[in-house]
Amino acid sequence: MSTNRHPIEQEELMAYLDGELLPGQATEALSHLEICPECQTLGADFRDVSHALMAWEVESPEVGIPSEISAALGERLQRRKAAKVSSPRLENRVMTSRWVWAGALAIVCVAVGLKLTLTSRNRNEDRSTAYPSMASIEQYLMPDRNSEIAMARSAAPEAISDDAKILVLGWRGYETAIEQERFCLYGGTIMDVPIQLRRVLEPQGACAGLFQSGSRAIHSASHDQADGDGISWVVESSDDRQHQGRIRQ
Amino acid sequence: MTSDEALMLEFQGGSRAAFGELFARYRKPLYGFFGRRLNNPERAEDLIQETFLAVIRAASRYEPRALVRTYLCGIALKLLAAERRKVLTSSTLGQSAPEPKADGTPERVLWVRQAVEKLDAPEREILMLREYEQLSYSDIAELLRIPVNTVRSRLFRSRLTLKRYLESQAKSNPALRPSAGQPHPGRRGVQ
Repeated sequence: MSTNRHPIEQEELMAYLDGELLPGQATEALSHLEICPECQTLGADFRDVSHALMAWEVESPEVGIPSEISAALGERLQRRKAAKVSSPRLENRVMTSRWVWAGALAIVCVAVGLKLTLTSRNRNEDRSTAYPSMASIEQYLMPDRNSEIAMARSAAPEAISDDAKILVLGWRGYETAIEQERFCLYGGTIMDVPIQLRRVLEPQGACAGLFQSGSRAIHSASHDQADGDGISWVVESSDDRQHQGRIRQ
Repeated sequence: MTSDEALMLEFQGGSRAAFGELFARYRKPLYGFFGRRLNNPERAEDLIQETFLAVIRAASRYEPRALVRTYLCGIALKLLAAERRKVLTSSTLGQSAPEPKADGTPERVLWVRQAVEKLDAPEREILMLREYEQLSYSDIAELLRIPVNTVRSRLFRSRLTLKRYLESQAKSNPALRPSAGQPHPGRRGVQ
């Protein structure tokens, strides 16, 4: 087949018959095929080969889903149901199941509480009253938030603590420091902000920390008391807005 | 009719019925896939099961990047490769494929089988994926990890080889001559 009479190669002709050419090339192939006996013969040859191959049919017996597949299917669907109950949907940033996390949370809270108890020097151990002579709260607070969180995490295996909600002791009692989908600096002040926090800025020398991803806080904000009134914080969210707050003593 | 891809996503979402429909649609094509390449109906059945089990196990990771047909062929090809390695190490047949069984099989089918088996392995696989599994050139290229142009040129060579073989066989046996006037079946949906 001389190329100067044929605008397309034999392989391209085959590709055209297979429906594999781009529209422009296909139009050119079709136009040529309509007028070229040599290419028509080649096309017929390809057609005959394909038809001959179709003679090789393989009949399969009609069967339903085998029991092994059915069992695996049932197991998979069961696992999926269980996973749905314990894991929040990706698009739902609020943890919906409390039971699964309650266990991890309890471990972390107990660990932090125990540590504080053991290091306190001024604790009044009168168990008959509701702690009438507790030491001032400053003596229970740890100056470095990151260290506090790391200590809390150390109380549980990594498989649990990495995804656990972390509570630390703050001015108003225990506060959420790390939550799986949302990072909360201090309880009520930031919980209302439905964002994934990307970075904590360092205003007033108060906060430091960098989050590895938007969906999970790897570091939390550490804080120092900025002034005698309380603690200030500023957080930059993933939408590049700043959120400020202050907690008064 | 729900597309295969939609069924796959429904199954991924937990629909048993969607899996059942996919099974019904692909059991026979998969039987043809393994049946033509192994000449062993029992192993073909086993490997069909393995294919669907693999689909179940990988359901959570499935992403609709390719047609379900291509996806299943990809799984089937891997199982086939493992099966062939097993046969090579344990069988006395060595490198050649088992002889096709002639028990009641029509002469024409035997003749086609022999013609296909005379092809080089890479060309044979491309031809079969095109002619029987109806995969596109790009799907074949992706599954076999070769360029699309290589698929095209090997397919071209294999078809010309088969053409010459079929012509020589038809000369000695007129019953094997192809019927004329048929549209090209390789052009999916276009007559």
